[in-house]
Amino acid sequence: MDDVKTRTIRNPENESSQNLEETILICEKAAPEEVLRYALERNISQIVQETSPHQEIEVKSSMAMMDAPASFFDFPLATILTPEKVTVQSEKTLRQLEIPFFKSDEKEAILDSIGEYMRTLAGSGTLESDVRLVADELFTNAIFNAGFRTIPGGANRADSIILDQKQTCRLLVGSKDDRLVVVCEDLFGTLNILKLLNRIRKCYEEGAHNSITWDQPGAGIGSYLVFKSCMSVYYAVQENERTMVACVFPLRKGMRARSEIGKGVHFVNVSKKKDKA
Amino acid sequence: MNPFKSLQSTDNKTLHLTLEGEIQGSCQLPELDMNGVTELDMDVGKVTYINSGGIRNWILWMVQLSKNFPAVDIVFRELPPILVSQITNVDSFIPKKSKIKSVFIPFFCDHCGATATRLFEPEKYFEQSKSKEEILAKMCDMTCPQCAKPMEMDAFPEKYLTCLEQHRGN
Repeated sequence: MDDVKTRTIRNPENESSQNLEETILICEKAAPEEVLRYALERNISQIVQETSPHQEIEVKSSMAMMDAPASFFDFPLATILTPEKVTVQSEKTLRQLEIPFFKSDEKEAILDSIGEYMRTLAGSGTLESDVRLVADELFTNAIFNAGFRTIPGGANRADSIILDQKQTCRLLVGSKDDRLVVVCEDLFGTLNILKLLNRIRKCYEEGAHNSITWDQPGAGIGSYLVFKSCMSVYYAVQENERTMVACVFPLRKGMRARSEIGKGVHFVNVSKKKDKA
Repeated sequence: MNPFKSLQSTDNKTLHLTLEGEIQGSCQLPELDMNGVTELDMDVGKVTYINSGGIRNWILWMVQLSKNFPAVDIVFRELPPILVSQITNVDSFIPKKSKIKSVFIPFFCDHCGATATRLFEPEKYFEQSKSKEEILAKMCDMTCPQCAKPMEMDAFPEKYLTCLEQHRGN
């Protein structure tokens, strides 16, 4: 890990801060597992890679998240795609699909409409299947896990789940230039980000096969597949209120070119920040 | 959505199994009639999708097959990219002793955005070619059907080759 060149930048609004939550780590070229180690061992919640063609804009997204973490929930697409212009209008313009859901049997229709949208964009075939997989796993987590945290592995996947309509989840899809973002929001706010990152790290270090849960409803590797498939990932939790996961994909690139882009990781726990203040 | 389907037929001592559609956690992988069978020939060319639940389901099914019928040779044909990527990412996704007869290789044209797949039968190339570089070059060779420019393999050629070498069989 120490061979990877890194530098940190502070939020210019608060240059003197030593608070790691005000720090953005820029890696020269770190492998996904190294990025996870930085996040978990150094407790850094904003990691950007120099190999990303969107490094500059991703740093701005990090700053926007640090400055106003709660607004990420209202403007996820704008925070990621146009961080210099995070407004109601920009969010609306960027949002190409907004799909509310609260029943498990809505999944196929939702994945089909995302697939249909993907075919209108110039992307490789493997990108389309990556986006479908990510949307599927995010949907599954929102319906079967988020509201069932007390049950190991969540609700049984064979069960038909109908959430209270007040807990309606959302999938959003937006794009700008050569980036596509898939966002999933649930209204439970139960995601433990560090636990999740640890589980993903275990998949990288011990292999996905050794991380599969054989005795629980979920396979336990869905979040790893999500992390692995996208270029950058954003996790935001407002404890017991809502969780938002956003995945960024580069358009017009084949799998090899996509994998050469270093992975960015961004996360924020709004309630925690509030508590500390 | 492409619902999961399977079809099996026996020809002498070979069980031909065709799988198609989406493999998910909730789908029921088939029980096989292996009576007197020495080879299981699986055509998976029309499998379009697999998610994390499907991966677990598939591995459990494969483990059970290998355990119950250790003497049966398992042959995969027309493996689609979605399954090859699981073979290269997840240990024991297919049994170590199984053989891969053919794979679909995905291509992407970064000039015009076209996509294509080509069926690749490794044995033919293993027999003809002398070096890994030559096989890789043949694997990656594809002209865009739309703009006639060279296409890029939309996967990791080295991983494909390693996988094909490991499952070459006798």
